[in-house]
Amino acid sequence: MKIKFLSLPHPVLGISDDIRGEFSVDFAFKPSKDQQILVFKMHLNNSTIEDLISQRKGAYVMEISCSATLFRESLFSFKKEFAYKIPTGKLLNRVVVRCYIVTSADNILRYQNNSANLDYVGFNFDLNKSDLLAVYDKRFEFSAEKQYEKYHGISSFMQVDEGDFERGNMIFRTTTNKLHIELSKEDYKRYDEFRKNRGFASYLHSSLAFPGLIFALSKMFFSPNEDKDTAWYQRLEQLIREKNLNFKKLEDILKISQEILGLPFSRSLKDLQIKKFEDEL
Amino acid sequence: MNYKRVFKELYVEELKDRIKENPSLVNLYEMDQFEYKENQVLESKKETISYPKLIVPDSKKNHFDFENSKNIFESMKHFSPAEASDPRFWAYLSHTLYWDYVKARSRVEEEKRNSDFIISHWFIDRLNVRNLLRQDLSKLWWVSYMTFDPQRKDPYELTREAFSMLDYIRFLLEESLGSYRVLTHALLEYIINNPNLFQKNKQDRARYLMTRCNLLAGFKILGVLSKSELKELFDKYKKDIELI
Repeated sequence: MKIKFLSLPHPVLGISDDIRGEFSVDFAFKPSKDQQILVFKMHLNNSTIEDLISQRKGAYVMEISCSATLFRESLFSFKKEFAYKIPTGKLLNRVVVRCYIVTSADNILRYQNNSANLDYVGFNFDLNKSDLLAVYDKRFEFSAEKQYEKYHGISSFMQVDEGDFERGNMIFRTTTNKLHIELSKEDYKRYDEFRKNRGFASYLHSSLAFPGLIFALSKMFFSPNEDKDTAWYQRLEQLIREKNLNFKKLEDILKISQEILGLPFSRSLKDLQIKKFEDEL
Repeated sequence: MNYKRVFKELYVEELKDRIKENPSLVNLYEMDQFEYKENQVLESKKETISYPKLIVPDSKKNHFDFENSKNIFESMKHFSPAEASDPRFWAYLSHTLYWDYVKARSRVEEEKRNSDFIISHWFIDRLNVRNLLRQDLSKLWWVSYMTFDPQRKDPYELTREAFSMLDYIRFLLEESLGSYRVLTHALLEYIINNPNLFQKNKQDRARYLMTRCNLLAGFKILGVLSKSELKELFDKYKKDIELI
């Protein structure tokens, strides 16, 4: 629903200056092993609409949609706080959540809102079930993974592969799903040995993941619309949001990559120090 | 029973890039089989699938979409939607086990084809509703998934209706509104249960109803309505439909 251009006969809180008051939502997404939990907290400041909800003639509605899995559901609640659980596997990649208040009963006759714009004085409206009473103009987005483990770690958006070439530079490529770092056969063989040992994780992050992330973020910066539908783009967007990072200037790319990887160079120096200490013993 | 196999992600991109950069390679898609690299296939030892035999279309009229959709869905009913969205899986099946089916269904040997044609029939280029419902194999799973109703005497009754007219896929399921399962079911049921109303000019009348739904969704949250409430809403347009 394109709220920006919507104009209805009856007044709607959140559209233009139809009604004085406030409707806003706090939203949190909490993935767990078997399900994805969406948590909502509603804030409403308009007595007419509050009365309708208390009479169960109005309800909060959360519309959840995910185009990658043809998922679209509208949940409704009469409570201001609630959580909704969706089994893992029903959602994938970008999920969009929009919040409204609608009529939940038919034949709401002669509706008037006490805080409506003066233009509506003297007018009343007959409403039916599912008519809009209020909209929250911001939408929430998050990126859903197939498996819970994918939420953690860079493997949710990055993968190292063995290339078709014997020796040479590593190649960075993006697909619809991930950022791929292709290593030569020679390098991949060594990488495969080291990646199994947790002690070498920081070196691999520094030398592989860090430049890979810079590459991906550069693509996002210079061609923001090109890869918006891809899973890696949406996952990185979510990470940037979660960490409250700014992504407006070219210089932000270096900061963001280091934040996402947890300061890879510092970690690798610390691990080198530990290794040096162990070698000296 | 066979293990589930998919092409590696980079290999799928490589195949698509090759076609885009060298359109003459579309001729490969008329060959009797597709030469692919076995080392670019991932096999899951944890999952087996009993792949059904698909009926190969014999003409423009007989696609056998409903029968094939039912069979594909029955063999992969255990898939989560996230698994069924995997472009690697559908690309693998389209290039191997169901090569002949996709060739025949797409009519690659008869149609004027370019790289976009090959990509839309053999691959899912960008993961979205439209591409999932246009790729010749994934469409079969997804239409059944969206219309299957185990509560019905024939759980595939709505699937059969959905495949009876291309409009249902183009103007209902491909639209964001079609992802509301309750609305899709309500609309298909309404048309099935009102045979007299849709006996004449069915395509135009059904399209009119779908258009009305899209208009209503512009200012109402149709998703909160039950199936019976939606059908009551459709009833309001009966007189208009009769005029078509």
